[in-house]
Amino acid sequence: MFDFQKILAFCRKPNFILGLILFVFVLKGLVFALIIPVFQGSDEYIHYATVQYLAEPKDKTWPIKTEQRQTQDTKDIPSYHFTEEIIAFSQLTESWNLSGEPHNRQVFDPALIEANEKAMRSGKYAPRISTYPPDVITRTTLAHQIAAGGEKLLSHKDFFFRYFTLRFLAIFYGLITLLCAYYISLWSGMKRKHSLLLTAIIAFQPMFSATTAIINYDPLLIALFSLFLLAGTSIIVHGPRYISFIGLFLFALGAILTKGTGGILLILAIGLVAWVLRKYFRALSRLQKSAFFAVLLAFFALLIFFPPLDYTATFSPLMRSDAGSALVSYFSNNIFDWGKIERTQITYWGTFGWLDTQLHPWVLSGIILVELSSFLGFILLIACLSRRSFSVGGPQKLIALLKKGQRFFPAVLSRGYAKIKNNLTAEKTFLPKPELLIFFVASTILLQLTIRFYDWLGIFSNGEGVGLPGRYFLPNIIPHFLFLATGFGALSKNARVFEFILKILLLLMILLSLYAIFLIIIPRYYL
Amino acid sequence: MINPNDKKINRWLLGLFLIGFGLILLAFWRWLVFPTDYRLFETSGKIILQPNEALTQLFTAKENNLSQIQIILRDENMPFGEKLTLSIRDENCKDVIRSAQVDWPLHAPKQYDYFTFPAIPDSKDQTYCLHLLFEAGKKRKHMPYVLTMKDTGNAQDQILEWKKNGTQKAYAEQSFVFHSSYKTKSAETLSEFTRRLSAYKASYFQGNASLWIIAFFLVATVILVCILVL
Repeated sequence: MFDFQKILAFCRKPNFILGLILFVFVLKGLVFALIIPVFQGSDEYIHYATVQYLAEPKDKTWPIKTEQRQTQDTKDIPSYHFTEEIIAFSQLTESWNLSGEPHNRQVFDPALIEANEKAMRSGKYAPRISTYPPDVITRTTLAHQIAAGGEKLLSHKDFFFRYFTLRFLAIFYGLITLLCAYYISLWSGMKRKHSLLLTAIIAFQPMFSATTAIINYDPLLIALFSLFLLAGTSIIVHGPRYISFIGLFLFALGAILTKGTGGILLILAIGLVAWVLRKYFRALSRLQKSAFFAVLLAFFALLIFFPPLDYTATFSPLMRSDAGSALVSYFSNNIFDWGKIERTQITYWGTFGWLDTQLHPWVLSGIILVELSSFLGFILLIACLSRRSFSVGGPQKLIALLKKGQRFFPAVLSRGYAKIKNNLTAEKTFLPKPELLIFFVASTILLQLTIRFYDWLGIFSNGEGVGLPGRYFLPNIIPHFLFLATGFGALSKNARVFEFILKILLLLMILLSLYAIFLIIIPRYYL
Repeated sequence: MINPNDKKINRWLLGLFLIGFGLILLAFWRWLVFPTDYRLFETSGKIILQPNEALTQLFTAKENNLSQIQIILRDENMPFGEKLTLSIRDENCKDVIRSAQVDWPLHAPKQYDYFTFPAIPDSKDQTYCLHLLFEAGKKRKHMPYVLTMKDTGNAQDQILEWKKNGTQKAYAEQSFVFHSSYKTKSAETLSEFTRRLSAYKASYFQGNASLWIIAFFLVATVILVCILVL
């Protein structure tokens, strides 16, 4: 009745596998949305308060009093000017006792839970703010506007239904990111199977999984960033097309409207336009050139007259006389501070909840070891590419030096060196194209600099920075994993070996994800 | 030498993955016992563990089948060769009833350490001595410490430090930050787990739905791995 071979052949089709990766990602998103308790996702209080504030009716007919917040204690949630619903839930469950207090669990008394859930579902606590000024994100963003639409749509449902359904938006943004990951790696020159494996690896990155299951603006930023990179990849690989350029600027604009750091995409877009002009300008017709400049001009006029960013707030501190020295001192103190790098690393890979639910440091050490191995391959690849481009230079000198020192190496090392050298010099048609790697390096460096700039700006202007939590760097998750794959690809003898390494990485990533779910997050909140 | 062209190697890879997968679920199942108290703690202090100087505290079990103690220790880098043993003793802190080493070294830092042991069947209302002993391999700069709390409302709370010279140092009205947990039948364990997962969730996440979602995710993951790896 069933032709097993046919079913097997169908299951091996790339589109089916891609669909399955996305399906598993949705299921995993549901698991993360389920196991992270209400308001235990990073900054979910203020993000949900902003969403509810935006979803309020335009005519505010309820009594509103104005007073300054009594305390700045971040744990004193009832003192915040949030909606009545948020305050009530916090008071009923003492949810703030969980945040940053790893020894505390929710109070699982059945009678208390039943009474609290009944109270929250009764509708007696309104989803509106009645004390001003509201504690919300003042520059409301695209992510909040979209979520507010969902909140309005579900206004007839109870608090828990609305809250958890809004978390699904983040899963949807995660899906977009994964689709981008697949097509970026495919268009960049990787084989279909390799692209699928890389997409699956990204799908199981624990912090990406946790971030795309909570109410926050980061998931939308990650998706828009990825869409932008997809449009950029398309321009570099397929040549300039109107649709790619429209996408490029639309996604950049969307990212800016989502979060300040999205601003770097504009710089990247301008850089890409310059590259395209340099490469294709002569081939364009006069009409195309005129149209191109007109669109560009219109876009800049739009940015000047309808600023998506508060330019004054961002750039006025730079006018201060001590700004330059403060900036230099910040960067020199931070970039090589191993403690800070380590904190960013752990929060990039797996620090869940309110920074109190982390992977074990030994696990992080293992991850760093894998990354360093790939980094070595990446550096050697760059050295090799430079050697091909320049007849003399640093990399060649380095190789000559290694050759010279070969007689001092033990035999095993010499053989290893010879093997790596052979692998490096072999033609790699399955790796991303160099011009794309340059594009991704540019996006990585720009994001790194921007986040650090905003951190410095916070310290310089208000005495308190935004910090450097790893999830801020997640918009670059696709380039990061492409670099990782490229590093291993450089060290691989052929496509089969590369595929084998990607399979190992995938299995390790899945185990890491399961470890995060079953031995870190669930014990933290439920045992 | 590993040959990626050999199809058998993919089966080995899948086998190793399934072992890791099973170990994670087993470790989770081992931890899956629940304390019966629902207190929110205010930690107020710490006691540094000195090598071979035990710390003890009396407590009364609330249910039968006492099988786990969760306690907060602070030592993220305990080298191999060092031992931290928790034993359940009689109320005079002499006869050892159960003894356990910390369960899983890779649990989240700053969280509870789990000490799991075979269940004590008739533990309900019995007073036991919680005995914590640190055996250092060599001299080290920083000793591990245990988190404590004051004013628990329980007048009997007191931690004793048993010095090597035979004397005792008392920390009056202080208690370890700890939970005692009790083994139940598998069905009851799953039911309690479901109840806890369902607390303060949307209706579609409540009851068995939460367990089904987790189960579907696990099965789908294994199918994905089989298709991608084999």
